[in-house]
Amino acid sequence: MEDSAVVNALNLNRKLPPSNIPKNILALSEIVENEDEQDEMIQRIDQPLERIQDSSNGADFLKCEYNRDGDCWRSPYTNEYFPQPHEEDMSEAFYPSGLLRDMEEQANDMIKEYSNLYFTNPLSNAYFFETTEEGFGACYLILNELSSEKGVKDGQWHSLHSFTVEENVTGKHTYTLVSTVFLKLELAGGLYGELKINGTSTKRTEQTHPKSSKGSEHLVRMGKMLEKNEKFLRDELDSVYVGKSKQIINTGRMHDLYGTNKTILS
Amino acid sequence: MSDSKTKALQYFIQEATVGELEYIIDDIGTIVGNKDFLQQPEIIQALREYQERHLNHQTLPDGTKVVVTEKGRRETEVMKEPEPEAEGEGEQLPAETDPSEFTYVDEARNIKFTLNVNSGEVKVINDAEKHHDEAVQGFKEQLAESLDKYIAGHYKELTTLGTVSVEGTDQITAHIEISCHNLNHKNFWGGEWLSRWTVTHTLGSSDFEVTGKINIHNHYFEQGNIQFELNKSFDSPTAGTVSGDAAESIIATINKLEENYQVSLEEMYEEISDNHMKNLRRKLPFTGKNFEWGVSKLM
Repeated sequence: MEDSAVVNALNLNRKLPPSNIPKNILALSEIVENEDEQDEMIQRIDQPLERIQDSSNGADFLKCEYNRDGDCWRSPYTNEYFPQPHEEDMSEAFYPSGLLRDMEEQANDMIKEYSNLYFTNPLSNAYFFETTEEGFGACYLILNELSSEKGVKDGQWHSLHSFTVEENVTGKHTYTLVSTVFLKLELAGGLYGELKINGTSTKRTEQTHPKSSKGSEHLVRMGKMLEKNEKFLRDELDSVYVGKSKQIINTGRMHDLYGTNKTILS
Repeated sequence: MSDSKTKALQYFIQEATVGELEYIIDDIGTIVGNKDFLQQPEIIQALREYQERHLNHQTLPDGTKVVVTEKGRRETEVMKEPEPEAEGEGEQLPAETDPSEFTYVDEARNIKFTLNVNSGEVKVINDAEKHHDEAVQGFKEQLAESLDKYIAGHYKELTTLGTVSVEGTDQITAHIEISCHNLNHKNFWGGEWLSRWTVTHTLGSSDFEVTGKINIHNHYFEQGNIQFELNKSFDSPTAGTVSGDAAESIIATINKLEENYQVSLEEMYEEISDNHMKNLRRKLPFTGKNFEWGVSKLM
């Protein structure tokens, strides 16, 4: 399985421009011809977030695989799908209810409060879904787009945090979180010319806690994990964009601040 | 093969960052089951463009390193006859040429060679490919020598090559290209610094003008895929004055342009960290501490 077309396509995708993931997927779909493999590949490549409007309350929400049914997406505000589908098409559609929907509503409020503290102009959502009898899944999304700042052509932050919560053999709850961040920053002109930085970075963490039946307890544990992963990825992206780029440039061309070959040799 | 599939393969090759073409071709080969696609005319052109876009380094059979440039590419027919064209009909090509083979001149080293963009084979056609004008040839050699000295002094050993080509005889235009490929794939990174400078100068005069551009592209791929690109044009000419040797003065001006540019990047790094990264996501909320999930007013 590890040498399947899907795995190789994912490897290839990591060498293609992170600035244009939809185009990468289209191109990869040309060579991964088996439909099942294509579907698997598309599901396994994280895509930048897009927004859609909940037309009953006018608010935007974010799309992802976890709130999608065909060409419709479920709004976390009203628990309805948009664009509004035909009734008969949605007999199989998923609508969380009970504790799951309660947690989802609370998670949306919490992630909104959280993202307002960390981001300048965020849109954030959370979606909860069923997995196993004892467990559940959740996906938290944050999109932050810089509005026309001086010198900035485009600036975007996308976080995708995908959780699975399961009861393990010892009766405890295990939380697995895969966090992916997309970052895009394009600066126009200036002394140093046109700058484009684009990247995606992923971090996986796992925690085990005593079994809990309280939704609020799950939400706190998940929130803390999310915040920790996001901090890690933010620091990593910062250090790669700045530190690593600087290292690559300054170890190739050695500028006078650090001493040229001549001064090193003499 | 369908057009859209060919276009997809061209896209993969075109977007390959420095030094990663081989990996990309291997990935494609594993997915499609073979490497027949490499013989397609559109793919051969994409491979050639990759060589030229990155100012790739090639090694001749005797160990000499040369640079592949778009400016240095020659028509394959032209090299067969010093006087090309004319007759047409009756002409017979001696042998079928391999469509993957392209002809280049590295003028800084006076070498004409062929490069097979598929097999990677490099063959020398002429190792004394000189400019017909002696004064120009002399000037070009001095420029190449000063450039080599500059590269040896300012770029990491074994990463960088430069080349020079000259147009005109009295009033000349010199193209100086520098290609630094700083690769460390074992540690998941690679980067290139490419500079392309154009110098106008009248031989024997005391002034010259320099325009050009620098392209930097870094790729970091541990736990992700992060690319960093800088494109800087130096469109308004920098005027220089010859003091002593013209070639040395020109290279000194280029050194200064590159040096100033690299120093200006220090400010850019700070600006990214201090302003832009902060606007994309703060390190901490303005409260100065982590979000208090447990005591949220909503709980």
